[in-house]
Order: sequence, then structure tokens, then C-alpha cells
Amino acid sequence: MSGRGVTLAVMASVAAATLALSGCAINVSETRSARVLRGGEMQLAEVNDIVIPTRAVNGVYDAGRKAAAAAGDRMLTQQERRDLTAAAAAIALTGPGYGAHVDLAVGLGYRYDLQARVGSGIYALSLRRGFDVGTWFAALGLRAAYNSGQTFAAYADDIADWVKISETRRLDGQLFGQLGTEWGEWGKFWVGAKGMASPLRTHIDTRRLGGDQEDISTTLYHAGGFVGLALGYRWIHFVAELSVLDAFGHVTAFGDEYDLSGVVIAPSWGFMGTF
Amino acid sequence: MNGRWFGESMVLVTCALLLTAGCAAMKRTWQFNAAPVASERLEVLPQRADVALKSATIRFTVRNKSSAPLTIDADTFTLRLPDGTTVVGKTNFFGRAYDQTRGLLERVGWMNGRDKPALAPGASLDIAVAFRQYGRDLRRQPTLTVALDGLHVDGRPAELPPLVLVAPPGAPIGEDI
Repeated sequence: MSGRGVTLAVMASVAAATLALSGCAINVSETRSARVLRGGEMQLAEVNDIVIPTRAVNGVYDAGRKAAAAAGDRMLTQQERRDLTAAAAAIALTGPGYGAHVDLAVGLGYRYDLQARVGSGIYALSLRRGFDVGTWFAALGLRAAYNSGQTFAAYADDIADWVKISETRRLDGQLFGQLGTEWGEWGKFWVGAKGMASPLRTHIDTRRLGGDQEDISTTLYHAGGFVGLALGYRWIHFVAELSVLDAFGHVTAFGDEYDLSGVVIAPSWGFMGTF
Repeated sequence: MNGRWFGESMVLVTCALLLTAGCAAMKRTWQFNAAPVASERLEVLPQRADVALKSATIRFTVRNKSSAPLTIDADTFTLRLPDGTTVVGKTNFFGRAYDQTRGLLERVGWMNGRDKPALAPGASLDIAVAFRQYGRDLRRQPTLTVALDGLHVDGRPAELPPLVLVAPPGAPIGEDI
């Protein structure tokens, strides 16, 4: 196994593995009013999500890819190794991508509602408690999610081809707050803040490249806010929301530590029916 | 942990929770009760009062208890919450639209006027009124008062006392529920 082969294997492994774990971004959206559903009230929404990790789109990832390609022909320079490392970290944060999910929520009474979310590798349950603040509504909620990490795998196929990733486990725990108002039966507006902790673990096998295999685990953190709007009438509304979150964390793999920090911008839109 | 198993389990747990919708706080529609009211010439007998989160539908029978035929008109009604909030209720949309259209055509002379059929002594007439609002939970009110101000007899207000709808036993009361 050559030195550059190992380098490439390590970088690609970390990148692909953490990418596979990074589908969390579609799980950050709320895309619903701050008004908690009343007992027996039901809400069904189809939501589309785009994930824009600023570190990945600012060229870091492209530079890393060029370095990885060069590694096949010659020894990497120190700068190229740094580029590759940076790219791996950028992908590790989260890869750009697109996803969709379906939310089904029901009001439980006593100002609580429960929401189930399924789609694009996400399974989540959320519980909210609502409060009236004059003519505004407030809600505090928590969400537990399992992320299969399959959403954006195709994004880095050129890297993922080098490695085998298995036994992926990722759980997301969220706390969030919302404040919003509604205009008659046609408009809803809300803002909110959210924090998310995501303990993850996966197994990376780089033996195809003559490398090694390792279990990696770490915890990613996201914190940020969102603002949303719904327009429609009575039962059906078009919803749009923008989430901006700062992500941070570190992971150690194959003896090196990778920084996972950066800003994630995630616009979401879809249709929401309330019955 | 198997991811697929975990995801499916979460969905099943959710479904199970949704299926517990039989608890009182999650019941979508409650049937309120009301006592009949009467004047010298009319008697109003409540038949059914379905009260949901944002809407209430009241069906009642108007009986002519006088010895003379009476012409009955139903217009808009007013539902009042215990805190004084009022909600306007209307009769069937298509019936109102038909009457209004016919009245317009009669005024412009495209149709001949007609006398509204009178309610014979002892006969009765069914009326349904729907109230709709947002922002309040009608189900959680202990009482809802329906003013029969939209009921006219021979062109004059019927002067009936209001119908008082009372929540059934077991219904959760209070809008924090």
C-alpha cells in the first residue's frame, strides 16, 4: 500500500462515511405553524428540502476532489493533502442535496400535538406543547429521529466507491421553540430556534484500497433558527421555510481529527393540509 | 440496532398513538344537547347539534302551534360563546343562493313573483344552520347560545327565546384542553 493510496483512502473514507451520516439536514425543517394542533385536529404535509452547506459549495470540496484525483498519479503535496482534508471535513458536515418527507401530525388535546415524519431515510417523532401569547402562538417541542443516512449518498459516489460503509447508526435529538401568528384562515407566519445533537457511529472499511477498517463515532451539533410562511385557505396551504444552522463537531478517524463546523442553509417548501 | 427495524417500529408506535384517538380530548365532534323553546305561535324543537373545533351545525324543527297558517323565513342566526364572542350562522348555501337569485330575477321582472308556501297549523319545518369561525375551540365551551333572531314569522321577528346548547357529560371543558 503506497502512502498516497492510504492518504486517499483515509480522506475518502471519512468523507463518504460522514456524508452518509449527514442526511440530517432534511430533518431540520419544521414547515408548520406555531399553533399546536387542537385535540383531534390532523395535519398532513409533503415537504421538499434543499440542503446548502456553505463550506461544501465554496470550492473547498472541489479542491479536495482535484487533490484526490491527483493522488492517483503522484505523491500529494502538503497543500493538496490539506485540501483533501478540508474537503473531507466539508462533506463530513453535510453534502449538498435534495430530499422530501411526509409529516403526519395529530392534536392530542391539552395543547399537545404529535408528529410522525417519514422520508428520504428519515424516521422521526415530534411532540410539541403550545401556549397562547396574546394573538400569537408559541410552541416548545422535541424531536427524536433515526437517520438511515441514505439520502445523499449519490452526491459523492466518486468517493464512496473507494470505501465500504456499514452498520451506520445515527440518532438526532432536537429541542426547538416556535413563535408565530395566523391571519384568518389564509395565512400563517412563524419563526423559531432549534438545537440538535446527533450521536453517530459507523464502520468504514478501506481494505479495497489496501487501507484499514475502523469504527468511528462522534456527536454533531446544530444550532440555528428558521422562519416560515404558509399561504392558502382553510384546509390547504402552501408552506415555505428557511432554516439556517451552524454545525459544529469533530471526528477522529484513522488517527486524524477532522473539523465538522460550518453553516448549513436549508430552504424547504411543500403543501400542508389541516383537517 | 437495525435501522429498518427501528424506523418501522417508530411508524408503528405512531400509528398506535394515533389509534388512541378515542380519548375525550381528541374527539373531533361533540353532540350538544338543547331544550325546546316556544312562543305563542311557534315551537322550536332541537334535533341535533354537532359541535366541532371551528364549526357548529344545528338542526331544529319549527312547528306551527297556532290555528292559522304561518309564513316562516330563516335568515342568519347568531351563536354566542360564554365570554360574549358571537359567530354568525347561515342556512344551507344552495338554498340561500336559490332564494337570492330568484328574488333578483323577480325584481328585474324576468320571473313572476310567488307567495312563499305557508306552514299549516300543526305542521313543521326542518331548518339547519351552520356556524363557522377560527381561533376558538367551540367544543370546549360549557354552553353555546343560539339566538333565533334569523327566524321570521309573516315577515316579523319570531321573538323566540334562544336555544341553549349544553355540552354533554364527559366533554372536556376549557380551551386549554
